[in-house]
Amino acid sequence: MSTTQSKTGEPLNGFLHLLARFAFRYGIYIIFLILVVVMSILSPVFLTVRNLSNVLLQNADIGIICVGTAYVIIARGIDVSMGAVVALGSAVAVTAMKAGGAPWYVGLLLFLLVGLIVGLVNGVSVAYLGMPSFLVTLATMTIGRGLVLAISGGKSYYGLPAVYSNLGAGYVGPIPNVVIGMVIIFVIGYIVLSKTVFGRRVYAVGSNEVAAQVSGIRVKRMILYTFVVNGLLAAVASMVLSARLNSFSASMGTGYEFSAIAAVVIGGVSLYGGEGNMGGVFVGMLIIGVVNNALNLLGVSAFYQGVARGGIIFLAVLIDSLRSRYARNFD
Amino acid sequence: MNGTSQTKRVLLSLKSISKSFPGVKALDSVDFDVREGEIHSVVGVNGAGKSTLVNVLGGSVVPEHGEIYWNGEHVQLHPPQRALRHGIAIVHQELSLFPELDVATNISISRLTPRDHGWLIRDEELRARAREALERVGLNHLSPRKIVGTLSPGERQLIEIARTLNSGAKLLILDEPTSSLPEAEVKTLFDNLVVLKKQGISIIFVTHHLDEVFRISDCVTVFRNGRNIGTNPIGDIDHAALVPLILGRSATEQYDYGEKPSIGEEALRVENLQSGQKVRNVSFSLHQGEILGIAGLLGSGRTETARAIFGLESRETGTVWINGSKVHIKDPQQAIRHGMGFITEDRRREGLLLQKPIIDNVAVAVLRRLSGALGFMRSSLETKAAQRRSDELHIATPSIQRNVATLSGGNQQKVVLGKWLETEPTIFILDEPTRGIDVGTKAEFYRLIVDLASKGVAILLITEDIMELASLCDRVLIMRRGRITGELSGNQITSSNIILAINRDGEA
Repeated sequence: MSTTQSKTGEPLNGFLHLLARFAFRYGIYIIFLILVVVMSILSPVFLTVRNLSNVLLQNADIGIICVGTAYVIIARGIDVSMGAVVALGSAVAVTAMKAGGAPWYVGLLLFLLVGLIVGLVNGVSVAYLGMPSFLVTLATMTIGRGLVLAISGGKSYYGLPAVYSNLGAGYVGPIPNVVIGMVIIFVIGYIVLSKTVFGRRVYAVGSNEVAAQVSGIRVKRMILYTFVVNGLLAAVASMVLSARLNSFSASMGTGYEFSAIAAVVIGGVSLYGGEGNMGGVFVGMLIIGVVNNALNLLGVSAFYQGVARGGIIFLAVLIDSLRSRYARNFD
Repeated sequence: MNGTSQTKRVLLSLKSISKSFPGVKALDSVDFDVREGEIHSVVGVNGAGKSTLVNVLGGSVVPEHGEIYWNGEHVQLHPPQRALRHGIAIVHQELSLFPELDVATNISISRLTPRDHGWLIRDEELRARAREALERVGLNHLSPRKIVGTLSPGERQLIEIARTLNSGAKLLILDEPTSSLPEAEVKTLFDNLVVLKKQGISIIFVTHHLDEVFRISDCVTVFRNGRNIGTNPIGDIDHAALVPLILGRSATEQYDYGEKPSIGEEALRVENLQSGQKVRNVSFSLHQGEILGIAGLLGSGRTETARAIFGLESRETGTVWINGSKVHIKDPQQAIRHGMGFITEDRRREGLLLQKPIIDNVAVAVLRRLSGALGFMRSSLETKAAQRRSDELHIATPSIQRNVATLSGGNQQKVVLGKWLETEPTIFILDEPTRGIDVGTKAEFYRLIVDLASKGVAILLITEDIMELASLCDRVLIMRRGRITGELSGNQITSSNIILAINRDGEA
C-alpha cells in the first residue's frame, strides 16, 4: 500500500507517490484556484460579478467547441478545423439570411449543415480512408477559410434576425443566455461521455484501438462520430458567436481551434488518447479564459499576450507527456 | 564430456551460466560451447531457456552467475553493442531493416557515423562495400540500389545477415529464421548458411523445426527446463532419439482433469477457408463441450485461421456454420453476437485497455448488456460483473479500480479471460492463452478451460505448448504451411506424436 514499484524497479516513497498522484489528478483545480487568488490580489476589478460574467460570456463559444474537441482527442484524434467551421457556418447562414432573405430557421439549419458536412468529411477521411487526422483537418480548415472569403466576398454583415440578436444579448437573471447554453452543452457532454455506452466506447477506442475492435466495438464508426460531434458543436459555437456579436466578419473564430485544444489538454485530456473528463475540460476552458482576461486587465501588450498563450499551451503539453510517461506507475 | 570427434577450435564457451526471472529459473548452470565454422542447432520446448540463451549471447540479458569465454578470453557481452563488437550478432527477423532505404544503406547503416565514414556519404563506397557483403551471402545478382521493402522475405533475411557480416560478425544467431519463409527461400537460406560456415563463420540456429536441424546442422544441443541436456553431433542422433530428450519425463506426465461429459452437437463448422497467404483451404468442425487443438509451427497459419473466423482478417473464400446455420461474419462485433469469444495471442496489444481499470476492461465487450434505456451505463451492474469475475478468477488486486497495467502478466490474462466470460461465449477461441504466465496461473487456466468445456462451451485452443495440447485436447488438428495436414484423437494425442506430426512435411 505504501510503496509502489517505479518503472526502473526502485520503490517510490509512499508519500511522494501519493503526492504525485494527487497532483496529476487535482493539479489543474489547484492551479485554477491559485490563478484566481493571485488575480484578485493584483486587480481589484477581477473578482467582480461583472468581470467574471464577462469571462464566461467571451468564452461561451470556445467552451462549446471544447466539448466536441474533448471527444475527438479522447478517441486519440486531433481536429484543427473548428475555427474555420465557426467562420464558414456564419458565412453561409448569415449571408443566406441577410443577402438571401432566408428565414431564421433556414439559417439555423444552414449553420448545422455546415458543421455536419465538415465533420463528415473529416471523420470519413480519418476513419475510413486512413488519413492522418491533423493533416486532414488542416486541409479542411484551409478550404473552409477559403470558402468563407469566396462566399462573403470579404464583406461583413451587421444585424442578425431578431431571434438571434435577442438570444445573443439576452440574460436570465444575471447570467447571459449563451453562458446557460454553454453550461447545458457541457452537462450533456459530461453525461454522454461518462455515463453512456457511447462514452465508454470513445474511451476504449482511445485507450487501445485494436483491443476495442477485438472486443466488438466498431472503431471506425466511433471515430467518425467524434468528428461529426465536433463539427456540429463548432457550428453551434458559430451561431452563438455571431448572435452575441450580432454580426458576421470573415475573420471570426481565428485561432479558436488552438484555444480549444489548449483548454482540453490543460483540462487533463491526454493527447495520447483514452484519458480525461468533462469536469477537467470545463476548468481548462476557465483557465484559458481567466488568463486571457488577466492579460487584458494587467495591460499586457497584445504582442506579449501571444507569447503567454503559447507558453501555456507548451506547459500543458509538457504536463501531458510527463503524466503519460509516469501513468504506468500510478494507478 | 566433449567426447565428440570435433577438432575445430572452440570459439565461444559458456561456463555454468544462470539467470532467473521472477518465478522461473530460465538458465540453470548452463555450459555451452560453439566451435569455429559449425552450424549448431538449439532445440527445446517453450520455456526451455532458448530465448534467454540467445539474449545472454546477444548481450541484452546479464546472467547472474557464470562466465563467458570468447576465443579463450573471459568477456562481458552486455550491452548488445559490446557483443556486436566482439563479433556476435543476432539476426533479427526483418525487424531491424529500413524498408524505405536501399540495400547499400541498410547494410552499412550502423557504420554511417562521422568517425567511421566521415561527414559526407560516399555512395560509390557504400555500394562497393554492399556488393562485397552481398556476394558473401550469395546475392551477387542483387543491385545495392534496390529498395529493401521491394525484396522477398528470404532476400531481406539474407540482407540482415550480410549486414552483420559487414560489421565483422564471427558468430551469427538465427532465432526461428524460417518461420516466415516459403520453402524455396528456406533452401536458399540454408545453402548460404553452409557457404558461410565454410568461410569459418559459426552459426547458432534456434528452431522448432526438427527436420531443419537434421538438414543443415553439425550438432544439436537440447535445452529443457533451463538446463543443457546435452550436445550431440548430428550423425549420432536421429528424430526418434531427439524427441524424448526434448520432452523429458513430462512426455508421459499429463494433467488429469477427470472425465468430461460427452461431446455435444456441432457448434462451429468451417469449410474451405482461405485468407491471404497463410490460410489455405482449411476445413474442420468443432462440437459443444469439445476442446479442439490446433498444433503447428510458427507461421503455419494457426493464428490467422482463428482471426479469419472471428472477422479480424478478410476471407477470400470459405463458409462458416454456427449451430447448423450459415453465418457471414465480417467483423468481431458480429462474431460476438454469434456467441464467439477470442483471446488473442498478444494481450497487451489486442486484449487490454492497459491504462484503464479492471472494471472497464471486463465491461468493454458487453457495454450494451450493462446499460439501460438510452444507452445509460448501469454502474451497479458493471461493478457487480467486474467484482464477480475478479473473485471467480482470483485476480490478485486490491481493487477492481486498479489499472491493468499494474497487474502481473498472469493477472492481466485473467482480466482478458474475465472480459470474454462476461460475453458468455458458446464458442471460445484461445490463442496462446498461457503465454508468458507463471506455472500456477497456467494450472488455474487449464482447470477453467476444462470447466468451460464440461459446461458445453466449444473450445478452439491454439498453442505452441505441446504439453498443453496433449493434456487438454479431445482432438488436435495439425497445421502446416496454411493447410490442415492431419488430425490426432483419443490416445494418439501424445506430445511426441504432436511434435512428429507438425514437423512432418507432406511433400518431403
